[in-house]
Amino acid sequence: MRRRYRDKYHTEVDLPITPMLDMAFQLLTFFIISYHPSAMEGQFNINIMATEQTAGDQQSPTAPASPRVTSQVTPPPVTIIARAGDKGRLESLEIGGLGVDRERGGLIREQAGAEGRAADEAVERMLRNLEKKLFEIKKEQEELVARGGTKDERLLLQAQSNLAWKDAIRILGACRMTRVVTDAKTQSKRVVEAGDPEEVKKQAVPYALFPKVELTQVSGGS
Amino acid sequence: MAAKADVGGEKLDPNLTPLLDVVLQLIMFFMVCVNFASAQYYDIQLPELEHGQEIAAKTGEDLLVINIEVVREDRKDEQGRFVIKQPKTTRVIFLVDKTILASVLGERAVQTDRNKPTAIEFVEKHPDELRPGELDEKAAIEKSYQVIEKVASTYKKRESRRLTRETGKLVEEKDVKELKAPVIIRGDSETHYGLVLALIAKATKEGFSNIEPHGLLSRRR
Repeated sequence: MRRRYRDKYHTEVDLPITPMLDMAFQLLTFFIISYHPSAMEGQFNINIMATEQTAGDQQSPTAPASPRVTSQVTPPPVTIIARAGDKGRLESLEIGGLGVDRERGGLIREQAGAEGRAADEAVERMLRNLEKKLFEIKKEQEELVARGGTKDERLLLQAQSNLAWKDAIRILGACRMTRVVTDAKTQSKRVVEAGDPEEVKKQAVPYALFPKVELTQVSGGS
Repeated sequence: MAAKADVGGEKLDPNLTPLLDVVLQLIMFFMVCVNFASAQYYDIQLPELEHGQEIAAKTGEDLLVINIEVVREDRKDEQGRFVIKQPKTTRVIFLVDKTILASVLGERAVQTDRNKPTAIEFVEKHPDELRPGELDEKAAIEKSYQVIEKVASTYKKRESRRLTRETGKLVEEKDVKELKAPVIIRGDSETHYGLVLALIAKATKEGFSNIEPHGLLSRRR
């Protein structure tokens, strides 16, 4: 039935699909080439607040009537002082504070005046160093808490006001989330590096090194 | 040869329509994806975050987004050479309710165009060299403070009303000490710590307890 119907009335419409397909492929190529999925936007799971400066430091001229916030009475046990060069790039990091051993803390410094790629690399090295030190400090704090010490997870970041924000935010990143393994027998926590594949396998859960970061300024000049 | 093909009979007619359908689907996909990622907030050159997490879903309507944009312009240096994309002006762009912005900056200053948001703009120049109408950093920060204050008081009013309704007791605006509304700081990677800190400090002072600096998640881990 159908066959006969078609044969009788059907004039063949020959739609030239090939050129259309060619164009479609052209378009497809264009969009594939220009496809850059932009990086995902992210945030830190740490608590950030601005705080009153320690005695002796002065307000920088860039923050005219910067409001003063009274924080807890005791200063945070760990302090990072970040100084910047003329171009605003990170030049030195000083780790100190009442809760930090002299050996654990100390100054991280790179050759000043680097620019461009060299500056990026210098910052990178300093931050790796800082991460290592913060990790050691946190480990020591955990041990103290396990022996009955009080828990204080605050950290004070004191940076020069002309420090580039991209470097400042990376210092914040060093007070980062990492991973921790809880020992089944003793219930004691052990911090492990996020990159350590052996340790991460053992049910490591995300864990912040310093979940409370207080921010403040240092007056200019080093 | 050709004759043989003719003799051999039927014309080979591959059905291209399904192929075309699929290709068009792919084109649609890539076209949509091209503009998809940057549509969420105002477009800014964010710094890289190394140990960041993906953004948690925001609940509630109260939100304060502070964008700090460094506008780059091509200009000449001292030797007359052309340097491209040099940072020149900085803009602080608040993404909040238009009426709040209008009450601080004036009805006229507030843009209704989403792509051209209202900004507090300042130029990095010595105060004496400023042309009329231009702001220096200090003045811009002062103005930003006013906006943050206004936003905080609006949110506190809202919160006090909510608490009064929930608890049945009268809660006044000044009794609201803490604001849970997230303050999202989206700073350009070229801006400086002092400016960001000043804004964070003001927000902390006004009672905002959730301050979240944003960046781009780095792909190398």
